[in-house]
Amino acid sequence: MIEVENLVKVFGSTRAVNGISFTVHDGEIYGLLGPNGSGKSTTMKILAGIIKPTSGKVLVNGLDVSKAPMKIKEIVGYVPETPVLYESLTPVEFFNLIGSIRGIPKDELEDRVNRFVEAFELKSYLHKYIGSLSFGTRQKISLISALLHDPEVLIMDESMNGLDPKSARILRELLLEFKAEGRNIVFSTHVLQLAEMICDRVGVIYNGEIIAEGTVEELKEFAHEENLEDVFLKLTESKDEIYSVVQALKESL
Amino acid sequence: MFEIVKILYRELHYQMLVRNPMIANNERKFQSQLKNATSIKRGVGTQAVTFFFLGFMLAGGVAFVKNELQMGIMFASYALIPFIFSLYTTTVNSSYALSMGLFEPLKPLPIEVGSVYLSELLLIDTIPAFTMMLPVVFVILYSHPLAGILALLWALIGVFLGHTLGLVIYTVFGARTSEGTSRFGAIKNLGKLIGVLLFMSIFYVGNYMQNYVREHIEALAPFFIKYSFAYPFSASSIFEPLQSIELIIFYTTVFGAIYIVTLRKLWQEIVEPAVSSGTAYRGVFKARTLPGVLALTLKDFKVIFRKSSMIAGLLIPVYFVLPQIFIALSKGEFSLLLATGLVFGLGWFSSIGADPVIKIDGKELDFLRTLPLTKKTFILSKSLTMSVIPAVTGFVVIGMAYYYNGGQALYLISHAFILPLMTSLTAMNYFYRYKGQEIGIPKTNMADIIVIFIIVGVLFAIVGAPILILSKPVGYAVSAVIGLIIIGILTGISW
Repeated sequence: MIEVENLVKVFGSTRAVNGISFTVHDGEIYGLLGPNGSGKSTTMKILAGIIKPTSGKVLVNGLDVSKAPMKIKEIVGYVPETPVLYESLTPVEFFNLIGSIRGIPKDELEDRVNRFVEAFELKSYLHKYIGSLSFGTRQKISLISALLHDPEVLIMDESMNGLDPKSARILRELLLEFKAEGRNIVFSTHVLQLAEMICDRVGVIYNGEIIAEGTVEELKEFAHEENLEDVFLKLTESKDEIYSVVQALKESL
Repeated sequence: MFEIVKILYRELHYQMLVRNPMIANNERKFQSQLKNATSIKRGVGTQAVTFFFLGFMLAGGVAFVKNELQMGIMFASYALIPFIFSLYTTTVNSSYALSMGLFEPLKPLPIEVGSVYLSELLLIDTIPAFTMMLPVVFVILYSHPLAGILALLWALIGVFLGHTLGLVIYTVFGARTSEGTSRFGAIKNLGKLIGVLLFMSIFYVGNYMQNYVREHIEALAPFFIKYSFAYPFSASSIFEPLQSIELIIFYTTVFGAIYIVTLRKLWQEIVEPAVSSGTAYRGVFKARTLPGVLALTLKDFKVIFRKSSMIAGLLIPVYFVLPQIFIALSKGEFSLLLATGLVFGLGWFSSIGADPVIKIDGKELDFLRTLPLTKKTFILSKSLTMSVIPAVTGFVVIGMAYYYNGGQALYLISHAFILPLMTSLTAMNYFYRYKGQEIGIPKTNMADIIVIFIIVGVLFAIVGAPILILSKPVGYAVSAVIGLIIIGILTGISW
């Protein structure tokens, strides 16, 4: 279970995250939705133990992120929105590096990598340098590297970006499998139809604050809208703005 | 145009600051450092002033020399400083700046030769080394005005040569990317290492050839004897204005042309890196796991050899001992004492490797931060990476000493690894001296390297004392034991 209570993160004079609270239960996919710069990625990095909160309490499976970031990193799989990988290594070398640092037994590492490689059709890329691969292929490698240690908790920041439809579908099914096994998944995306499909509950984050939370159905009811995209635009006060912005752009071009 | 360089400088130093755990985690410190680090005037100005005062120590040596020949030779030996500094800064920082993605926003813009911005950006960092030469130039200028002006020009030539060679090294060895691994990858990497080393030694080779010509062709001897053609020896010609100007024109013309050609080639490589094909066979994944420290060190070496010209930075300790090795070989004498001095020298100069080793992980550090990687593991792996090249060179030196002196040379065998490792651990403990387990890229500058030089110098004095005081085998054995104890303590600190 993930428990976030009054989480605040300040960068200079900017409050990127402003006192948010939410809970992710075991076996639940929690969607964190919000416009660019709303504080999603910062929140996710804190959950993954990468950056420290300024204040507030964050417990991941009972571990405090401020006190035990290393333990958190052992149980969490984090996929960043842009894959940051060693471009001069091959996927084989990269997976071996992760396996070595995480202390994954050789047989398990070999078995898991080969299964993921098969699923994401990466066989022909295994010995190529990561820097020479497409964005989507790098994203697949980033995904696999986050899953290699069989994490109890998954933090996925727009991790579907760049994936081809088949791989996206495989990942979606995989997440549902993980959910069924009782793992916690925090998931952010700008593809709201996807969030609607797989998230048990969503939190809409805006200007560093959670402005609405609940199941997709609850949010639709709350906002009196028919789909999640309209709910999102209404809640982030952007729905009425869109028409006038497009008009202004048209006139200026 | 300089506006773009200012923006690139700010961006580079901002990126370095956010990855520096000593600063990034302290908001107040971060804000105050941000102003200094991103300002060229403040950042380089402070260093330039420090180096200018350090230059007075060099100037002192020149001031008390009355003989023109001696003054010329002394100046020529100092002229190596801006050259090495510039070569080092260019090779290491070009790779670092590009790995930070600094030029990505410029790629889509209609810029013909954007590498000129990279060149200017890197030259900014060589200003301190140039200011270090100024007191020496002033002293010469005071007593011999024309020689002083020539000395100033030679100092500038030194910066320009180092910078141009650095750009060539990066363009040839660093910018090219390969599609994949090849069956002959290890041989290629070894060839690359030798290539960079030979390229850096180009002036030594030039000088060796000159000596050869001098000895064998009598007709040419007077010209070659009088003034050495190769830099920095050529800088000793400051008291013969005509020859000096001829040499300056020669260097400016030849290296000016190389500089222009290299800049164009480099921009092409930056915009669209040449991709050499590698093996792209399909296959299953075979796991080869190692302990974390070794896995990280192996990763560092793969990155260094494949992608980066940082290898030149790691080879600097080797470069410093090369002249002594050449001299010893040409004389046919290689005493145990000389070998001991070289092994200690290699260990001491390993300090310079701290900077490139820390900079191997650019933005990829953000990935490492997602892993349960402790600072201890990170420090130990970086120390190992730093130690390998000086240690291997040390073993080569011992091999040579063995050839000339027999079994006695083996007394030194443990020192070849102990000394660079001591230096590396000292450097890494110095740079990662903050509390907490977070890994990062601490800021490194020449002042830090000098501090490490001093600390390591003291430690080496302690380790070296038994060799001087005690009889031969015992002295070396006691020295090695003291070295191991210090390594144990340094490792303990990083735990």
